[in-house]
Amino acid sequence: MGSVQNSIVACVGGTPVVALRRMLDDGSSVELFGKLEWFNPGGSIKDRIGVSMIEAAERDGLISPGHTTIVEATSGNTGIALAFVCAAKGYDLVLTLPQGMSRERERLLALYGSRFEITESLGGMNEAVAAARAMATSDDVFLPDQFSNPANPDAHRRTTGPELWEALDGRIDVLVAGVGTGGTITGVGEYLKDRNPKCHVVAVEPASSAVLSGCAPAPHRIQGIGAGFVPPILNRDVIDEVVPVKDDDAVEVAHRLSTVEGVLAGISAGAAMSAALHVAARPEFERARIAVIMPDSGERYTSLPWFGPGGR
Amino acid sequence: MLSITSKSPYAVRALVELRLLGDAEPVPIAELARRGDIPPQFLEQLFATLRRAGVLRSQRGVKGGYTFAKPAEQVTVLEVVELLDGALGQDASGVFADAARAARGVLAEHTIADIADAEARAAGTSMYFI
Repeated sequence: MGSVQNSIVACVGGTPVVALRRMLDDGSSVELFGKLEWFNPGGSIKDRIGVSMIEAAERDGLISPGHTTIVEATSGNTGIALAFVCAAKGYDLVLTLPQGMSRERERLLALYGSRFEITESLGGMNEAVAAARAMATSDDVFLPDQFSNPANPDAHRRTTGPELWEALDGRIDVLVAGVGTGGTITGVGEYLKDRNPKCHVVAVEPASSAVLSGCAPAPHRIQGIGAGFVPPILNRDVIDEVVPVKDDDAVEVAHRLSTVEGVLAGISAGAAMSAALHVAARPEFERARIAVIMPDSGERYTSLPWFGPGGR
Repeated sequence: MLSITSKSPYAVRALVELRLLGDAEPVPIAELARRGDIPPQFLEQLFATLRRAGVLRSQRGVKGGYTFAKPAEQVTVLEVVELLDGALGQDASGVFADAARAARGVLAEHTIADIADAEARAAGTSMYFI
């Protein structure tokens, strides 16, 4: 029984790193690698923090199965990650969302037994977060709060960073990762910089909501990154450069990854790859080894009109 | 008669950007053009009209730029459209006059502040997709 896992939760991590030669121009001396995070059981990089945040709270004695209800304000990949981790471990999960928001993922989340709390007004994030916090005032409710939970970057410091380092034999010149909560770039960036201080860390954000670049938040289509504020857990010291990527460029590069490499990338993976190609074209990165974090698969977005084949 | 040219959407976009950036200090027109992906010289012409009409105020100098001359809550999309593209349906009659009246009604319902606020709210929902 050596190869049997005790739980789906133990299957998180160990995702493949794939060379992506066909994305580069002919004659490019750059080596480009993608870490394909949709090979996690819940289908995204968020599975790592779903496990990490719940298990950290268990270790701290804050939660226990059958007693604690987990509450988070998300319908994104973190919701899906928490949904399967909570199901597997025996926790109730409630996801709060503002009324009027797209609820297309509810069916998927409901299959894991998750419940939704829809806040009445269209007041944006403040009211759903307030609803989550109001529910957390009783002792048997716990808010992981991915934007401020140190177990988020810690998951990447312990797992994603070392996996990448090992797969690429300790030779990584550039790391490219999108910033949503900032957990990935903080954890992986800190791990890589500890081992190679010269590693150039590139943060990716939506051009139309380039908050890290000093612009105002605005709507954008690159789901999973660009929260509209600077997240508390983001370590900005680890970032050497911020590259804003346009929505259309993210989609176009995601489609190219599918058709040229056979790698069905999601929108934020397309954004990260777009930024990586931008960096790869510079003379100072000749012969560089560039590692790109690719958070989820395009399969998750096929119903979006602007992402499907021929869509814009 | 019923035409709305590219002047109006460009101007509304730039005014919304101006509102989103806040009114603390003048915003250079080049910054608004960049944010709205608008040809800068074209925007200069549009803003000159809006300044003369009392919608905007301009300040020269190193820290120069534009601010609202009246609150963005009082600037309707209809006002912007009619300043830049002329009165909607001025010489229209019959069904075209009805269509113009309907269009005017819709454009009068929305202010620059409304649009900016809706965009800011929508931006806030980004975090739920994470």
